[in-house]
Amino acid sequence: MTSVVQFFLLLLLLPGIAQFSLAQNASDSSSDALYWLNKVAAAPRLHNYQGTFVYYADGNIETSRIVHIVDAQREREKIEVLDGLTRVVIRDNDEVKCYFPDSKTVVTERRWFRKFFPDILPQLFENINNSYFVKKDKQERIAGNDSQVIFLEPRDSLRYGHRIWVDINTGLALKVAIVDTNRKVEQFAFAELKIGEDVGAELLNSKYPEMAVEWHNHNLTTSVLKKRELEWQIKKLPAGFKIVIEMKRNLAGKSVRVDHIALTDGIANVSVFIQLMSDSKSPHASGFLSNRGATNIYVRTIDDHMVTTVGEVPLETVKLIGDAVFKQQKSGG
Amino acid sequence: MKSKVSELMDGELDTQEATALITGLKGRDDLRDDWETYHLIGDTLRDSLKLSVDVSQHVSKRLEAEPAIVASYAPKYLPKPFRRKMIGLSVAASLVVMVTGWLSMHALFQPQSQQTLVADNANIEKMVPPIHVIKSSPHANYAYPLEPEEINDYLYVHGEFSPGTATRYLRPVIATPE
Repeated sequence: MTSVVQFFLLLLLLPGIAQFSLAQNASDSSSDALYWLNKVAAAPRLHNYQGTFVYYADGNIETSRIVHIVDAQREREKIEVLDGLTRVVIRDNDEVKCYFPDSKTVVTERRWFRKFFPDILPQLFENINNSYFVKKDKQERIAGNDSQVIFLEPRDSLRYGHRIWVDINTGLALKVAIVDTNRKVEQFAFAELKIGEDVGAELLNSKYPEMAVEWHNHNLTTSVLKKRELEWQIKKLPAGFKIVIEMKRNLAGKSVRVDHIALTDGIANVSVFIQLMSDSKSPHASGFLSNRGATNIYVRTIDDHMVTTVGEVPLETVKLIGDAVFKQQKSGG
Repeated sequence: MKSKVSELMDGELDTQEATALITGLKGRDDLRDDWETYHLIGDTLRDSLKLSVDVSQHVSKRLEAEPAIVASYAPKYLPKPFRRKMIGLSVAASLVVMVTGWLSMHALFQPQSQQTLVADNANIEKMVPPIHVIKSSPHANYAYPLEPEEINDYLYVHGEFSPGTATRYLRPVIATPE
């Protein structure tokens, strides 16, 4: 009899315990930790740097060399991928040129938003506290620099956690890890880094711009549309996500244009591509694909279109977003 | 030669090759730099607080500063048989430490089959271009889709919105004849 009473007492207490743990999760991110995030976002606009960083996921390592030069007018960058086929990226403010010497190809595009590691954060963190609990962790040394570790703990299962090792002196991200519970899904880290005035603009020099005059040239163009102007829309966005841009764009070496909707929760990004199936030679079936590291892909067909959702978020999230895509009825049409 | 350094770290070289390379490392600064860089990369990714720094000098200095104790110590207030026993025990303990030390050193220098992060460096040259898409089906009612022809293009342009991962999607674009 006593044990039955104890059981019911426990049942009565459970909601209270659950509420207490929810209240713990809903606590605000520390302002100190948010200060560090702002420092990370601003650092690439304030410092020259040169270094070698490694990308690691699923047992694969890829090494890249980066030179980043900034002055009052321009932000310039050169990234060379050191493993596998030669790939070189040269950026001058928003213009990004990618050189592929093996196939004698250069791809030119404009990038308005964010760029390359370690330039990983947006300039503004709107509502980031709704999706992540941002907190300060320990201090560690990375590539010879002292760093403050900041952890963005996801508030739900719709996104991964992000751990950022921030250089204490400059605010540059020295290392970034995307974590699923306690498992590191992928990470970027500087193996060696030099920051400051000593890093000269002459390091940006490359033989490829001159050589590429005779190469295949692909210009990636986009037409940005007004909100809800695109024929395809997303019915209900997962918590914390918002649409960044809606556009029509071409793909390298192809004449067809695809619809592209980009979403973000402030940290994680998702792209939705919608393409007429008759424009693609691909077989059409719904399902999931997963790329190396944190990227997940969900393919779905609606009528005569293929909807591909790509993002550094769990499968559940790409599916929620992909399934919410619908075709608007044209008004007056 | 760089790949040889990487293989040495992974324990993939036989004794003869390893000896030759270690001799080479002593004389060539560039190879020694590669050795240090590979260790640094491994340490960085492993979250190691103790990065691969040259501690040998520091240790030597500390050893020089330490007084050398060669005789086994047994308190004089103990009766003689006990003192003899203690000396015997301490000799036995030293022997155990020596044997254990030898075994662990032996194990250290044996080629290791275990995978380490650094070991992946050996495979870099064999790596396929960065795009590697695998199929997965976490929901039973969904079929495995065949990879859309445009998937690499999608990943490439998505790169703008995922700056941290952009370099992975840089792959040669097959030019279509105009």
